[in-house]
Amino acid sequence: MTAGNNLFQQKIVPMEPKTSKVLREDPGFFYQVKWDGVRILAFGENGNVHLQGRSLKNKTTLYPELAVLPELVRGKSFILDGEMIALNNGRPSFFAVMQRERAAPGSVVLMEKNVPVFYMLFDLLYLNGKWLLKCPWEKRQEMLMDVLDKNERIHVTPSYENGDLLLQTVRAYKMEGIVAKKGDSPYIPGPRKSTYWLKTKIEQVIEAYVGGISFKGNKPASLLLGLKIDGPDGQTSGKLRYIGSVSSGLREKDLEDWFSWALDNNSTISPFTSFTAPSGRSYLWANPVKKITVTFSEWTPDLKLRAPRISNVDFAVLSN
Amino acid sequence: MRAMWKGSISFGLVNIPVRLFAATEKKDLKFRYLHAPCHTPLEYQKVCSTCKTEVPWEEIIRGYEYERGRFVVLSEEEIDAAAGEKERLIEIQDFIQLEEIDPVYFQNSYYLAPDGPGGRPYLLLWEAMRETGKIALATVTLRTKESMAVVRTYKEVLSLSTMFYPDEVRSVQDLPDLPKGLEVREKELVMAKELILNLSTSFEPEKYKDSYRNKLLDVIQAKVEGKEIAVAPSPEREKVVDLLEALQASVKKSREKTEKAGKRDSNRKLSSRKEKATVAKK
Repeated sequence: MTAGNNLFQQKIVPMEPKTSKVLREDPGFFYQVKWDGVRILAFGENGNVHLQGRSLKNKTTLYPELAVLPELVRGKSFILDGEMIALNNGRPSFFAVMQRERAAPGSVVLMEKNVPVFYMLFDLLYLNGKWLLKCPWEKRQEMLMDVLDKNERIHVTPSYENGDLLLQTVRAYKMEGIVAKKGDSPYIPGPRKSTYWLKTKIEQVIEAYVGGISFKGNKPASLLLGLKIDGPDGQTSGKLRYIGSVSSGLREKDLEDWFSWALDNNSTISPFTSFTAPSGRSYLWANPVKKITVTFSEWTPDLKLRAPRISNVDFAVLSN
Repeated sequence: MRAMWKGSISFGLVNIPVRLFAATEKKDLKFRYLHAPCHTPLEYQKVCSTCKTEVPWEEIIRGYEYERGRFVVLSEEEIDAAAGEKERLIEIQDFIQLEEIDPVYFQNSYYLAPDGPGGRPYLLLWEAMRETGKIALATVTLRTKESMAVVRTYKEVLSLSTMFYPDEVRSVQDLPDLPKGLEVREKELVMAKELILNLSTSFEPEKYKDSYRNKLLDVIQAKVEGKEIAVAPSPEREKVVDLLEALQASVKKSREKTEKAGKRDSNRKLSSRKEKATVAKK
């Protein structure tokens, strides 16, 4: 591969890790936090910046924070790989960063203030006219740390030698997971997942409001879940954004308990702002006053829970 | 950019597979309607005034009001049938000069990009149109409506602009107060023409900015900065440095003495940070 006159014409599908159920403990591997955000490649040339997403989409205008990159990188031209994250309660929140991804044209300026993002770098693919894809990972890391002056918004993802300790920590912090990276491996652009990078994910936990119950025939079948929506002014509207329904982990008896609760807290109007009822089911709306802890694997791109499950089914515990 | 439509250009015996992309985008600011006392965004409900109930999608059908209060009901199938077989085709009919079309006919503009094996014939059509200076008049069905359209070269791509049908362009006959039976004074005409020549320049659209939108953005920005909002969000205080340092401290703590100090540059670099670690609580 050679760089043309204009680096920004290059399209690179970022390298993807393979999923690994168990942690790969191997002296040849290094471990990093897996950031729950949006993958961004940052191209820099002649003081200009161009941002590209995983699906090759141009995202330059979405993140004006990265316009300073040429001042931070000691190099005339570069391609950086990293994850864009936003925080909520001190933790990366995919939900929060999606607000930036979906910013309406013209409101980016505002969103930049309300939802600050952080660019967590973890690779360097090109520097001063040279491709580094074949360079071993360790060498690329070294160069990345040498070449970048970080600022408050732009950081290099730290690497650790002990994956087990990092996994424990990440679990304690309720973060998404970790990625193991082979020290002597090249950068292999996707979309095929590489075994040089291995991700271990931790189940996600969220506290969601129950906004209603769906019925199959005349039996309660699942709980409808939502999160309270913050308005653009940061005010909670009291309405819920629908994030999916859960039935897994609930016994018939639990559903009956929720049913009688919903009857007591019945609402004639839907507490959800966005909920399109699939046909063939009926619903009972409830005032969103009660939360439930839901375990799930990850967020889907349209911000629903994937594989949601209730692990603590004791209704009494939840009542207080 | 996401393709809105996939089909092909039919040009003589050649078929050029193409994808269609919107060429323009509106940047108008959108406001939402809120309930004044509580700032809740209003939602719209489809309500039947006879049955006094909210109407779900599966109970909604389409009717044409042929007379006030009287409807003929058309099923989706009947509506689809009228559209005919939806051939995804941009069918070139004639080649003409762009100047022959008055801009009042133009509706929406799209870019066409070759799809799959379409690259070569696409380039051929582009080059041939560029060299002859002609544009193509075509018919195209986007969604259900068949439109008249123009295919032409724009920069290094082919573009498609849908057009209104002649009966959709209103006649000028009925405009009120048109000057009839008046004459232009020669002297005034000379002056007006001179003024036009003085103001003549080339087309530089960048000179024009949407000042209304910019002013609105300024007002909104000022309100956000002046905290003229009921509950100011506090995300600015959340720093990723805090999280990084907390993680670092946590890993270090659990490592205890089982491991020697890491030789990894990154480990050292992070632990030797000058900034005071503010460990996130909880």
